[in-house]
Amino acid sequence: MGRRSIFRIAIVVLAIVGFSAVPVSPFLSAQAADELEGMTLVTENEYLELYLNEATTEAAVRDKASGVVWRTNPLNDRRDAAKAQVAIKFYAPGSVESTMNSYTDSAAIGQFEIVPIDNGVRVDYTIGRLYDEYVLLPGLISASRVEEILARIEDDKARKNLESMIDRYFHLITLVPVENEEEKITYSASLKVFDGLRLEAEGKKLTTSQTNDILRNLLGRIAGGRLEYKEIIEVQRSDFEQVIGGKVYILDGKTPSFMLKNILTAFEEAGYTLEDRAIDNIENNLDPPRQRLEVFNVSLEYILDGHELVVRVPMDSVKFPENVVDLDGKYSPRNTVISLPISAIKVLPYFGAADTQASGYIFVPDGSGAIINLNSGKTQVSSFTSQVYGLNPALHQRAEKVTDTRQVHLPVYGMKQGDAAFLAIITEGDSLATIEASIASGSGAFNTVGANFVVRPATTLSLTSDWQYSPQIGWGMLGKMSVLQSRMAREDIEIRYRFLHGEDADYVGMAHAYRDHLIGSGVGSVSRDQLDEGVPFIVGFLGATLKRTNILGIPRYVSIPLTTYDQVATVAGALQEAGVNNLAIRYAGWFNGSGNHDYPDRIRLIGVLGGEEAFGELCARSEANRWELYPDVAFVNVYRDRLFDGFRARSDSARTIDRKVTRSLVYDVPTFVAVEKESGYILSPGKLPGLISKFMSSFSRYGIGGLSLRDLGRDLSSDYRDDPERLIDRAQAQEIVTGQLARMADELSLGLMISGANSYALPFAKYVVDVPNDSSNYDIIDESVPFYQIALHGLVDFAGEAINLAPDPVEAILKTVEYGASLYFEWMYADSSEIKDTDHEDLYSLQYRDWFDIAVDLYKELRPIAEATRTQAIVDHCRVEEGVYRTQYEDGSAVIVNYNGYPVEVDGVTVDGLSYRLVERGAAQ
Amino acid sequence: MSVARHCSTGISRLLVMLVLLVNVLLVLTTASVQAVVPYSSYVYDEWADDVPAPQAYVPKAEISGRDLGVGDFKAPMDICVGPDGAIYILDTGNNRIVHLTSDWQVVRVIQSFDRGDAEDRFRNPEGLAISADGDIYVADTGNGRVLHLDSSAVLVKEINDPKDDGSGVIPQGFVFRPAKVGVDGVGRVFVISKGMYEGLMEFDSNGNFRGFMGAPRVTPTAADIFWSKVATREQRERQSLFLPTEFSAIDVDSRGFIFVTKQGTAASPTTPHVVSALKGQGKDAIMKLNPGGSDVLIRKGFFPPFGDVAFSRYPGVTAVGPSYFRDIVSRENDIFSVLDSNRGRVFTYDGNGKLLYVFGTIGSQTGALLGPVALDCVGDDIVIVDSLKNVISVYAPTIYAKRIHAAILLFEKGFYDAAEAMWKSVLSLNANYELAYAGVGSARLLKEDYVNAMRYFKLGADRDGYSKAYRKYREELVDRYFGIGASVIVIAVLLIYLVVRSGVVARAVDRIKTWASGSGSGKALLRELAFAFFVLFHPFDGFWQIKHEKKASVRSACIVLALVIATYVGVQQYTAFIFNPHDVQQVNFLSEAFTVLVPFGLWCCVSWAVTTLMDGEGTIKDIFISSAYALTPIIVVYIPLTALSHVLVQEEAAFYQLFQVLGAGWALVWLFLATMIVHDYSFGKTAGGIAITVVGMAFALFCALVFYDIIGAFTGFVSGIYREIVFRM
Repeated sequence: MGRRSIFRIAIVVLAIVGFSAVPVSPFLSAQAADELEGMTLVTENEYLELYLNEATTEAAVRDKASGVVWRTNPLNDRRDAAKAQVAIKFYAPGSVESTMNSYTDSAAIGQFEIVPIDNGVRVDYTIGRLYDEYVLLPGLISASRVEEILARIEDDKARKNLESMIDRYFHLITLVPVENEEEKITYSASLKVFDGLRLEAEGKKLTTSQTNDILRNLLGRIAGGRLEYKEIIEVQRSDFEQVIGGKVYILDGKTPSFMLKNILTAFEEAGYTLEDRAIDNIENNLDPPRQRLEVFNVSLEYILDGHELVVRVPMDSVKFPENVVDLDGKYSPRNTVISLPISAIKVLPYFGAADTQASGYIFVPDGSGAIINLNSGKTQVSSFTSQVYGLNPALHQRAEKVTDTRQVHLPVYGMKQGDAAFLAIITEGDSLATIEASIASGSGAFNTVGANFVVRPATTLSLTSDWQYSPQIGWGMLGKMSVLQSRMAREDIEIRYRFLHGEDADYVGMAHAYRDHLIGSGVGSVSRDQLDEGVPFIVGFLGATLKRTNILGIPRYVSIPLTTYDQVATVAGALQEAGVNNLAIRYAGWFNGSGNHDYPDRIRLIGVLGGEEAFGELCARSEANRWELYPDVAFVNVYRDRLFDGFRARSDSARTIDRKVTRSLVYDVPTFVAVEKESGYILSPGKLPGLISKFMSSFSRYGIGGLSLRDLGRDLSSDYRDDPERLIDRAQAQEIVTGQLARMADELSLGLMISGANSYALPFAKYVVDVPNDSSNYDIIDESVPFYQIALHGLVDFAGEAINLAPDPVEAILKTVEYGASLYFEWMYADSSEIKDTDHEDLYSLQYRDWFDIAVDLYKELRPIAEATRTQAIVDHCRVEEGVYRTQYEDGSAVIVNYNGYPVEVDGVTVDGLSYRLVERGAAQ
Repeated sequence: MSVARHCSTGISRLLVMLVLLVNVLLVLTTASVQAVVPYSSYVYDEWADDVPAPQAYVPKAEISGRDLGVGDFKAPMDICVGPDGAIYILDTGNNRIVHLTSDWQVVRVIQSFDRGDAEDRFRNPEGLAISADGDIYVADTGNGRVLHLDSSAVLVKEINDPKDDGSGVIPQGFVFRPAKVGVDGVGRVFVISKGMYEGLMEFDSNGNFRGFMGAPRVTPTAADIFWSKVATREQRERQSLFLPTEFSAIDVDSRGFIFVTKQGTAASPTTPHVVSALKGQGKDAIMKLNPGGSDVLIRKGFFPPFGDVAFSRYPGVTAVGPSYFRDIVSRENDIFSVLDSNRGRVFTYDGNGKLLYVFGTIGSQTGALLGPVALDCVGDDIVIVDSLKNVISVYAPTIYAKRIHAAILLFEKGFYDAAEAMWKSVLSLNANYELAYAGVGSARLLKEDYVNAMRYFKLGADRDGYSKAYRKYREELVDRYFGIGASVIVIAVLLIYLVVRSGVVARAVDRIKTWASGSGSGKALLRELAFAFFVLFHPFDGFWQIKHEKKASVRSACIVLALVIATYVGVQQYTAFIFNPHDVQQVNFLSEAFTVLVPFGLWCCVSWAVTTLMDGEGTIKDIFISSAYALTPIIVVYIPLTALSHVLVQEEAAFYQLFQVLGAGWALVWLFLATMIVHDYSFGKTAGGIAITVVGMAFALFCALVFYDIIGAFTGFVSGIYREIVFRM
């Protein structure tokens, strides 16, 4: 508490000292008039009004209930980037990556169109100037044409203006043949083409250097306006015959660019058009003006849909220069065919941006959720960037892993400012998104959060396979080039904004908004019956693991039994006897050799665990005792490629953009470096349906009603096959996975226990396990919040990581209570030393006898709390004081958890150190 | 660089531990609120492989100057805890010392000090130490002096540039730039000065320079010298990742032992995954000096304490090269922790130099470090100064670490039952923990439960302990079964004697000989193999007959060779735990066969080439057969020896080794004789021929390596071109 309040005080002091000169703006709602200045109402519904500034294409939404206005771009930011609604990144040949935005390169130059659509408006941006800015400005124009143009002008003032401009910034020149040796001027070598000519400028006496300047200028203009010339020495005398004897105006080469603008205006006002320019070009042997290469199209739709503002980028509106001829040779040798593919699109990066005086926080979905305080003063740390649904293994085959981080499971972000907040839910294109948040610092005076959609990822490829030494950069990989995904992703981009105010304007309110969204997309429908059953206890077992053994030096991998089929039943029976009445058993390592099983296209039960008969008995006993059995299987990670096992790495694994086999990398902890020989493979998402069919045909004969998915709900990989038609981009992969989940949950009516479920897997989950208890706690993050848990509580039963494997089991237990999660342990039956030197040595604390009594006691202790709260939503969650958290449920009951080593008193209730209390309904009021 | 922490000894502490033991699982004294742990924990097994372990310490908080209300820190460099638990932070960039109570409340900020006549200030001070009576010692680096202030920041004395008394101890042109400082119970001051390789500078309590301590010995090995001559410039540059050793940190414990660390180690491994070659190198990265200046650190772990055993040596990854120690802190029961700034890790070792646990990493998350420079203990917590994040990172022990410490304490105090129970409770949290297995083993040994002691010592990879337990166990067996055993032996000897006397054996041997002398290829092969035994004891006749009477064939030689390989593998696989230096799980027949066949084949080829030039009479076939037969001693010595190893204990290692040497020597002498007889050489000529052969083998190996390298480079080149073509097209 102290630390935060000090921050706040410091910020306030800073604000007062630093900004006393700036008039302090009133609060958001009162500011509405300013906020909407220059904007027109486009459409409205019961809840929202949509405004658009037709000059700048900035948009705004007014929440009718609160009167709060949310703008797509901040007021008073002079930087162009902050005025943009869309920013694109594109690749040019030679791995040059450039950015453009919808303000500088479109709205500011009027290259956009506003189209009304149902309940909203669409803005079609043409990003990138069609023509060079000064394309109208003639560099060479004959005296007669100048006369003609001047004569054409009706407005006196405009004529005078143009006249004076031409007078001041053009030279009227003519080239005169001479025989007289003395009058001849000595030219430098490149100007030999002028041999036998003399330059005369009307009304001016030229010095030698002036002459040379003008002549160079002349050559430059001709060479620059003719495609076939690369350099000025290639210019022939025939190219400027009109100047020999004729009078031609030439624009002074040293005219400053701000002046060029004025001259251009003068010409424009004089009615000088592109056609005029074409005439002058022909007269002066110049090619016609050319459209620039870097022209892109992106449309942005704003639609009001009930409470939500929907912002869409239809992918068929996104266009980039494809197979165009690079006439100027800007990116490659002249006249080669090139493409400038768009690689990423940022949508509304400045939506709701908060200025340096705002208080509140940014919400990012890192792990369980995290908040970043606005203007926290942490200007030295790097900003937040995290890929939705974790890193794409086919894209990020990282050579090393230094720290452990949490994954983004939910495609949401939001911001709280004062007593208003917004939550953005990415509903399409989510798997392509990267969530970016930064706080105001020297380089940007706003706190922002937004999403960047990488529609066409690239990777850097090194062409030499070895380390090399170069004097410039020292040791490193040389010869790099970028390789892009072979086509753009096809899924549209859609973000839905929800607006909150008053009490709802916090992370709990955001979680509720998201919870509504989840309910709308079917989350909870699977497990609603489940909620009527008893309080669940989730126990995981590890069946077998692999150990390397030796017979006279011939290595062999054998399955070591850790928990046999019988023993699962034994422990489950003991639990039931001890009073655990709703048991969900997650059983890993029950088939194909080990917990890290062989390719699961068929099921071979493990002999040392008891074989078919014992397994059948386990199934029967589960059925009889109403234990839910969830055999665990990994579909995405293939742990090894054995001969004749139905999986061939070359054809069945996902491919990286640079066409390598995608490994599921295992990292060496001390050195951080990936160990390839211990790494498995990532299955191509395209192979998933086939694999799951095969697995199911084998699995169905056991008649088990549940299945635990170790990685299908968590790991999402593309398959970057070279062929654009075989390529499966991440959005397609997500579609395939969702389809398979639906098939298992709906068609096969399997109850699914999903580990680390991403948002798209939630509608199919009966249980979600391995829900992150916290965020990655990057330096920029100020606090972790249980957003995921609040959104899910009462809809689906969930649990964090297994308590006995947590870094601090006591803390894990307290978190279970705080978040209303289910108890979850992971056990094995055999002596703990059996796990030493095996495939699963990272599960070092699995012995069930060490935990059995504690688990049962905890279950009994927590059952009353869970019974009271399990089916309810969490309506409030807050930190009461350092280390003390209070979770409140719909019916008014609350749980207070004390992480401190000493007792605390909250609301008149004493909570012991490292303990918790349930405050019954009404008791706290 | 703290000093003299009073050991809150004895009973009260022990009581706490016992309470902990009774209610083993859920009693905790402090809480860790933020357990977002960005790092994974591990320890090394004896094969230098990392084995996962539970978290020992988890991030608790990151405390900035702003949080304390004294304004942001600016590149703080040191932290020190006084005898009363007070915390002193040396805020180098702000030239101040922040004095806090043990629960992080600001007492005062020392910006300047009173030197009697005037106020004086620090300039970029880098080192800090607090003496047992609370005096403050500051290495005022920028001013080139060490300051001794009393607890109220009044100058007591100032140690300036020590003057050379003419003895030439202090090198010419030396500039006194004290970086780290330590002080012992009697007021002796130890200073690490930048650029000073001679050792710690020792000053007496009056500030007089007394000499150097713990001078590092830099003795390049022959290999180092060789490679430094041969290496290319690039290779040498890569080598220079391994920094010259210079003292980097100092901590004086309450008993006057001085713990010092060095920056970097001399280790230069050849592969990212280091092998046992590292054993014994970088040994003195950490030293524990007694007041006399001798290193008394016990190094009984699998590796001497030098931080990470496995590390990457290739540039391009986040951290390259060995651990880079920046600070050390001594803790109770001879435990000490060192801070590795290279990978942001803290390594904790017990009094025997065994690695207890590792935690920490670099990175920009809470609990990860960017610029760790100093550490100390505040109560149970470990605090680390991060000079880039400008915070103090606080780490709290988990129940796992607490149990380890409790177990060590209990064992130290002689509560063996309690210690065993505590080690077992550690095992319930970490089934991989060899130290805990060994700990249980030690307790079992003291309880005279030798069988279980052996089991646990084996799980704990503790050969010493196992040997001790086994010895006792053997004694017990002998005691119990001496009567029966002796009678069995006597009766057996008698029986054998009678049987041999009766002529049954002789007749049987005769019958076998008669049978074997018959015709048939199987019988011939048998004869040839049996001839190997003849060669064992009659080398001259044997090798002569091999050459001239074809008593052996290529076929039989191959079988002998196969048996040698099998023996070689078998020795590695089946030698008793005490004597087996190999990872039994990883023994691989193919690679072992390779290690026998390659030198053997090379020997045959090169020997043939050499002897052909030296008028040798043997053909390559002769050489092959006789050389294979010459290796027979290895089979007949090593197989029984491997069996014997299961009966011996470590004290009898000499006996074991003697037979090892005998077996190898026997084979070598027979190889010599084989060469001599097959080629009909004189003694001298044989010696010469073999010498040339050995040189030739080395040369051939060298060529093979060069060729291998070229092939590698070439395939890299081709695949590079291929990739370029594929992706550019």
